[in-house]
Amino acid sequence: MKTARKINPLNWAYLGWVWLVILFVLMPLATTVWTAFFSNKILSLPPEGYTAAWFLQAWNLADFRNGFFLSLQVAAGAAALALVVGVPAALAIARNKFRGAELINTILMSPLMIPAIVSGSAIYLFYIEVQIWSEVPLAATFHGLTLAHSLIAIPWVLRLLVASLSGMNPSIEEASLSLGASRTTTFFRITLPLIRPGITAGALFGFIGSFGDLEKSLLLVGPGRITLPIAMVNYLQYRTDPTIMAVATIQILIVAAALIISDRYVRLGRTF
Amino acid sequence: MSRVVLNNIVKRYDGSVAVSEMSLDIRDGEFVALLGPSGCGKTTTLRMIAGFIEATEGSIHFGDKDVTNLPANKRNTGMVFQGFALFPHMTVAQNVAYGLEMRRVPKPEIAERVAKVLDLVQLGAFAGRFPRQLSGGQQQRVALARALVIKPHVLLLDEPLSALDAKLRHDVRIQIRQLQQSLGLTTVFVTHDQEEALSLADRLVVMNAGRIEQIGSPSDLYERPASPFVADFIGKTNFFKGEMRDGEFRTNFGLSLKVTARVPAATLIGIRPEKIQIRTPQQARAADSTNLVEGVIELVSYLGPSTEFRVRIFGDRYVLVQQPNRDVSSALATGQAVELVFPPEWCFLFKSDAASEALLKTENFGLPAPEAAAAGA
Repeated sequence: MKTARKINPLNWAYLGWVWLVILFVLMPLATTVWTAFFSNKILSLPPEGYTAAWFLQAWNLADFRNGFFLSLQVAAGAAALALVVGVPAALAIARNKFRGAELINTILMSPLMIPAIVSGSAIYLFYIEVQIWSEVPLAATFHGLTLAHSLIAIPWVLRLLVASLSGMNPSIEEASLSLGASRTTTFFRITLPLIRPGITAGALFGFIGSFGDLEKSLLLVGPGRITLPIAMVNYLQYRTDPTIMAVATIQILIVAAALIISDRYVRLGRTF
Repeated sequence: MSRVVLNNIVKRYDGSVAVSEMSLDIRDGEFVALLGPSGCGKTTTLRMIAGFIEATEGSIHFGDKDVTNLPANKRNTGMVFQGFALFPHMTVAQNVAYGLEMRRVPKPEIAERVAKVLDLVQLGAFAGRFPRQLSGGQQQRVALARALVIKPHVLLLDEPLSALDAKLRHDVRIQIRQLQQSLGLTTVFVTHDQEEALSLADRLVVMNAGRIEQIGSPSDLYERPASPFVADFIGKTNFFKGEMRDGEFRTNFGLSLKVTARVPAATLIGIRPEKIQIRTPQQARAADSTNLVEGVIELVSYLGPSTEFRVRIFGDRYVLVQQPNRDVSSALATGQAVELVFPPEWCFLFKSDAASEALLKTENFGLPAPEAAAAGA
């Protein structure tokens, strides 16, 4: 049977548009990684040559090294805190068993509505007040910073987990109960394994969000401490060599690795 | 041993009563079906027996034990859910073993009992598979095995066949019944499909709007319905309004029918389509002319095992008549003038009430055709 193949100009236009969008999205990533290897002393096109020296340079600068480790620790802590708060909250909200469910959901998601620099300043002021009142140091401390960063991670955990839970058949937990399992056992043996993709995705995106945050950290990090985004901004004030691109490339690689590794264990594709 | 007794169970939600005054005594080994339309309270009742819903009033006993205040996980019930509710991250064997693990049964015994019950449902070869690799019918059997292996007090089935296609439904329900009988398990089965309920149950409980309409064996409910609701919900019934006059029932369009039932204040008469005899005037036998009605066939529906006729009588009323295709004569075609016989012993008599009024508004057996009804007949 002969099938007529019409060259539809609309099809080509659509395809062209799709590719344009994809390129637009990928371009910052591609440019960053590409220019990280330029040997030009000042970031510019065309490349004079290629070198990996900037990576070494980045590692030798204390600011970048310390910033990297602090950002890592804070992001991990923020993700962990977000899980502690977000998992029970998501369970309660998704089951909708109580009257305040919608309200709690909105409150926990509210950090998304506030510009980061505004919330950063507000948190700083709040910390100062608490410090005055309770003598417990909060501003310019590691735990204060992590606490503030958890506000970034919580909406991620909550949103992804509630979505994951809504897709789950509630009869499954009832089946576990009817077979004699306690609520705790049901949670650990049935619910948890089934929401693992949602938890992992939520923690991951919370981690990424915290790692990349600049505004909250600026106000809360305190003297002597530095996060990676702050280190990068500082560096850019005086130098414009590819070192900055090298640092960014490292960051991209870490996030990519985290995504790939979690995907092997958790099949993130199923969460969305 | 595995008696289940519900005593005056009431379930109220703010403002509405889901189940009212439900009392039921289920004998050991009995198969009881809760049947009714959506929202009648049958699933609520089942879930109260299971322990997922707390009764507002009343008590539930399993044998001598009062389980009313026991949480679901302490009642030792075996429940099969509508969507099977298998644990997707566990294999078939692990699913079935779960209940035994919760009861701290030693591992070798678990393995043995799981193997036995999987053989019982003919899924022995699938022990290592995951639910997503099984067909609907197979998942259903796993759900059943999972509920049976724990030797529950009572087996609770919440519309277990509704997720299956028609052919499978028939086969699986026979398997369920055979298993239940061979194991002697007390069983409560919820369904809205009256054919399922009739074919499976020892006793049927027909529910409507939270109340029990009638309890009885399938033949009791079919041949001797206690209310218009039951007569209409189970099988089909032709209804006519009217009143008793001189020992006969006179419909509001002038048909007088002899009846054997004794309901002095009856205002509603009902007769099932398959009980009405239909024949052409040429076939009429002189001897049998009690309750003879003349009519014209308006529509013939061939159903396979039987044929359904829509017959217009008294000009603007119609009745449904059903005949098995063993006897039907090809002379019965659309437009044919026929004679109907309404045997007196098969006429149901009811007092109509609010419920039956509501019923008759949506069903129009025996009522004027829609065009005439619109004119206010």
